[in-house]
Amino acid sequence: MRARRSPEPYLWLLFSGGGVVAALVLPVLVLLFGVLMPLGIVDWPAADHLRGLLDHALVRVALVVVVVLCLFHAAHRIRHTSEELLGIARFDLPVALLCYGAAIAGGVVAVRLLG
Amino acid sequence: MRARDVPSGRVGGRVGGGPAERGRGAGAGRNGGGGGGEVTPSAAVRTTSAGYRPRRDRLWFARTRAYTLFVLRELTSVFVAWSIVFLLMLVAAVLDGSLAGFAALAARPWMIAINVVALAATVFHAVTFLNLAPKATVVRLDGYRLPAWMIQGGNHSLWLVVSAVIAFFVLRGFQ
Repeated sequence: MRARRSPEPYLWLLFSGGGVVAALVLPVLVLLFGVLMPLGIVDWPAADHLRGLLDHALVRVALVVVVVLCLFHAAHRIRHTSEELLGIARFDLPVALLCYGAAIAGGVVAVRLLG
Repeated sequence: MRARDVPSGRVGGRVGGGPAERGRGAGAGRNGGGGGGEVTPSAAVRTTSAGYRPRRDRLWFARTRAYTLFVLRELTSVFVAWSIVFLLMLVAAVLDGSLAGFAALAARPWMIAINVVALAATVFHAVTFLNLAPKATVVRLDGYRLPAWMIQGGNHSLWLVVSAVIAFFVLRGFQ
């Protein structure tokens, strides 16, 4: 009997890779741009300075990788959690398509912004 | 209790029933029994076609602390997604030259409230996810198994270093 190929292992791989990336980079970014700067505790950097950072090819590539991995991580977890919380595991295929589809759409947005 | 040990409670194969679904297996097992004895017509009807399905417990995540923590940890993913959206909005604003507009939006009270929750969620995610590494990675040096706290310590140190590097480049950079 031939084993049926399943995308699940790759999805789990993306999930855990995204989990590590999200853990390492997101808290500090949210802390700075989402909390400290809006509250005025830290000054916003000059627009030119941030623009300069984004002009580095390395920063752009890193940002795209961060966006794609984190979105896949979130999509995978939201897929499973919504199925367990709401009891909709019967609709796994549409739920999965919706979650991963949204992640792919976000990745496309990132590539178009930074490409 | 696997909800506490495992990243999302279901490594090693999909689902197989979250806590909520557990009742079903037990119900199915009960149906299979009753081999001996006399089978009355009404019992046959009850155990064959439809089968016995216990009602789904809609509040299973509120039943024990472990389940609640498990669900809270899973829900951090919503804020991971939000953080990425926020980050993309920032990037778009910087590239458009509309950073001031973005700063005004980010300073709205409801926006700050969302981001405070997002900060708590991403930190919770980071702590739980990085603590998990020793369960997935077993490091042996010459037969000596590296203890969990060393791997976790290494991960948390890396988190600190990465955060410091990002903060440095965002706030100052090499002038």
